[in-house]
Amino acid sequence: MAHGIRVWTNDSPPRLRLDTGDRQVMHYAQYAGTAGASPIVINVGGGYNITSGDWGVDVTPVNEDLKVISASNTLTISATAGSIQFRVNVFKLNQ
Amino acid sequence: MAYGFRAYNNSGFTQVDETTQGFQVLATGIVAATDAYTLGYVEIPASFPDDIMVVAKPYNPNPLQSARLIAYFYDVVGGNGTRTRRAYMNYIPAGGALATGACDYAIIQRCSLFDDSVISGQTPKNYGLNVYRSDGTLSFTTEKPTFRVRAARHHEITATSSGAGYWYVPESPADLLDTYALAMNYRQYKYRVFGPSVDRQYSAESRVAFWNYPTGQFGTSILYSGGDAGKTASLVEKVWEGHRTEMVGFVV
Repeated sequence: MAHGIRVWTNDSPPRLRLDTGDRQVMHYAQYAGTAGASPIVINVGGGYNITSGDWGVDVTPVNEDLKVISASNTLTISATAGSIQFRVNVFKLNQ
Repeated sequence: MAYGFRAYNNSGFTQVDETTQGFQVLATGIVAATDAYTLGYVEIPASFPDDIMVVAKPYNPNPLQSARLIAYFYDVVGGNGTRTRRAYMNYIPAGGALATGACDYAIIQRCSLFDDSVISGQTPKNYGLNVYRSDGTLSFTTEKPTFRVRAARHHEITATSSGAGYWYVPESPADLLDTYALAMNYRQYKYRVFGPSVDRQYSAESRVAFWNYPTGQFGTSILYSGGDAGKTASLVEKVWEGHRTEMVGFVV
């Protein structure tokens, strides 16, 4: 039997707004700027470690010249051609 | 010290606690079907905050077939200082090569940045569950529509690893029709020019979201394209490589 809590909406019929199988994903931070040849180093902190399985990252735009490199507690962002306006969202997963 | 309460599910993961930052839905709608020569899009209102994200799913798809979503977020400040924010999307029906299908979308934001004003003055009042942080801001509320994350996965994209494959199976196949995907970067991620100088060819690959309704599975799929690159094209291989996270869930 499932553990946890469920909360329904007051629609008719009611719909689950919170279910026991829902996963907690926290939008931890967002960074935006313009990347160029000189790398931008962002200190994410909080124990950011993309290989741990507890963190996630979303990078826009999809551009083959945009480089976003994750390391322990940091993100390094650069562009291999021109300048690119970027957005990076960092998530904490499965807390 | 923790504030409020904490609920765990049977996987040992926290459903809700004081540090939760659930996703609240700011707006929903439909991006219309297109002729596929240009993708449809929704303009993000200028009044919306910076840290919004967009989730999407095929609108009214054929449940006997599959669907593949091309979707990406565009956020650029032009030379005149005008900021343009758009979420582009359309889906490719099974057997098709072009993204012509309409999409449902939702614009979402982390809940913790809302204050009590979002749940005041409504009818019925104080319905469901509200969890507050120690600074008085909401960390979670069931009083407004929410993007409920059901699964997330992480992959490091390289020239040889796209991350293609199924990675989510809902509890029932019918749930797949209601499943939204984070729709920020499903598009071309790899481009290559190859061949002798007298016959340069190119190949391109796109990562797309893939709803396989008949099998009840969701995943990431690759679209391939290619052709003549022109004799003056330089040899190149570029990949939007690095760590990326995908997620799916319901908008309720």
